Amino acid sequence: MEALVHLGAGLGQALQPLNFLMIVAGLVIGITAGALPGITMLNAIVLVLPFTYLMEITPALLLMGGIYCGGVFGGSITGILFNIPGDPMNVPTTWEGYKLNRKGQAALALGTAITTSAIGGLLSALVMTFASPPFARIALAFDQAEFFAVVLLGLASVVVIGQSSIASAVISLFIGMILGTVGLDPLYGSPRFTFGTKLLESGIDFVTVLIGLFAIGEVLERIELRVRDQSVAAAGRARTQLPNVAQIWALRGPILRGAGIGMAIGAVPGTGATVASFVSYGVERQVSKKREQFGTGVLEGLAAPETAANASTGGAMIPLLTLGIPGSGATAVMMGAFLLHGIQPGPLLFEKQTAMVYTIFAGYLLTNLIMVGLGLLAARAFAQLMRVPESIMSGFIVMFCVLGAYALRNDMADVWIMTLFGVVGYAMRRFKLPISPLVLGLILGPLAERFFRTSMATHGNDPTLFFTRPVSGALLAVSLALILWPVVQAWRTRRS
Amino acid sequence: MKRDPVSEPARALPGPIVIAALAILGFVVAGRRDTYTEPGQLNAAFWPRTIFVLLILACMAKSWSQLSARRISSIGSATIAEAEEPPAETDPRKLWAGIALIVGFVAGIELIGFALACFLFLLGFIYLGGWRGLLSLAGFSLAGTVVMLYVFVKVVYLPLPKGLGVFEDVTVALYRVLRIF
Repeated sequence: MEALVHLGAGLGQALQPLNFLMIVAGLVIGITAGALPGITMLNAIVLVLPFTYLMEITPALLLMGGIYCGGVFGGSITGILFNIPGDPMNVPTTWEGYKLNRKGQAALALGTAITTSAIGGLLSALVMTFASPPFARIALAFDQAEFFAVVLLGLASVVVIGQSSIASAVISLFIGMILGTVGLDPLYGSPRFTFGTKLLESGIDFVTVLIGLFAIGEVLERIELRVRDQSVAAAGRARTQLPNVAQIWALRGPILRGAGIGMAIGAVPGTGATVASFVSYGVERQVSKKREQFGTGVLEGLAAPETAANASTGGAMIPLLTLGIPGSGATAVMMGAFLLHGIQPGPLLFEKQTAMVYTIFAGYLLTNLIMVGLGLLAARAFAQLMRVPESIMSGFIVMFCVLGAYALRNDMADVWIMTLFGVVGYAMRRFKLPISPLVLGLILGPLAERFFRTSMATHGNDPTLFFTRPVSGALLAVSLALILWPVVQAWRTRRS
Repeated sequence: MKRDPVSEPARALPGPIVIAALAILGFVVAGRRDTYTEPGQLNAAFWPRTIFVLLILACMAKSWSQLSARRISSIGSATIAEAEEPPAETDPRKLWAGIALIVGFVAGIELIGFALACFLFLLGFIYLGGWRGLLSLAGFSLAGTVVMLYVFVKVVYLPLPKGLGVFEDVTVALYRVLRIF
């Protein structure tokens, strides 16, 4: 009851003109940054950090919260429309969303992405408000072994992510993990596969690979196929269509599972929206009644990761606010904003800055509600781009890719790497080697290595620690089940 | 030209074998480098070598499944999907021209500067894509280049390459005309 009173007061504060303006501005910046390949939501939050000096902590955090939520959703727009996920977290959404677009259902895909993202964000904002302290206590008990188990769960999801051949998907995953080892060893700083070049010492940036594999590879394939796809042109004329109540009700399972997974994973420091999105898609692929159709454009496969990604934003805020531990890159920057204003986030924050904390909670709820409207406008604006002839669009996509890769480090070497992976992306499509597992391996591989080796180093190289710790053991069991389930299914199919 | 059904098991078989051979090479290379390691701890080569072994195993599994599929197809039971899937119309010359244009664009950025390279690339790539209205083609390319220059150089302050020698002077002059500098 007391929480509701505080929340009401917080809502009043969040509706103050400056605070409200910051929410809207944050959403606009976030959606735009998320939608543009090469400019990530995290970049946008980092870029506004110096501006937060000029304002109070509450509007500063509302601005950053808006960018956070908007950025998580924004990447789905270009993913669905152009097969270019703005951020790694939008990759699973792209798998189904782009296929829906090709079927002429871009409007429904966009509408579903907006709605489920907002629902995920709203649910996580509610949980953040009412269940912060106990949730954070669980996450605090996590050690490196548990982090490794969570990341392994994300990697294990590859066997079920929209692929017809598990062996091909696993090969692609391991190639991605190998690429992830290029650079300096995370424990001792020894160079690996750098061949004496300075550039490779900092590793292969997954954004460069992502842009090349997905966008350039797609453009090359379209050029070779000489196809002017009528369904895509029709999608550009379609209006963005929010799903009706019956459609949302039909998606209640993926939405609730996605929200649960997103919040739980978001609350685990170091994981974030990308892991949440991949794990959610993997789980949905296992439990959905339409699992056989995953990868061909299924709303369930779009709703689950989209809900999970935005649900993880609220989840990631929980350890930040209650323990002072950032749960993701974005919340790490938010912690910087707290410290810039001389405030230490943690349990005492709830006692000393109650009004501010509940204004942030209320602001999060508002952000996710406003996002539906702004998301529709943004999606409509981006959907108009579909009217542009493919020849012109392809040229501009390549140019954006080049600019995106160059902007990462102002280095042409990144552009060359992106170009190389563009050709690799085309070749992988040509030889039916799935691309997404490679990206997953490249993103999660280095995390898995760091957590695994740190765990081993601190526990005397005893591998049993992963199985004897209850949470880690349980997560590994889930991973094993995820891997074995398709094998069991195949065996049962063969028998029947 | 009809696209070859390269997913056909018989043709795809060398793929996993080539990847496995490269993985063996990688395994050897990863283990050769002397790296600093605390006594009794896993060294820097442990993780990549483990993944290389897993990759080799995955390639073996893939080859085995392909061989099984070939055995089945040899006795005349091609899958329905394979039988129904029509080969797509392709134009390899366009593909190679597209790759050459992209590579040329990236190389050209450093040599002649982003502005000129971007204009020429858009001109060539849109033409390659099938657009034949020459005036509109030039218009799209010019407008696209100018908008990109304004957004990324003037607003975002991205230090895009200006080119070498005389091309740098041309780019700077262009920036002055556009009031970017």
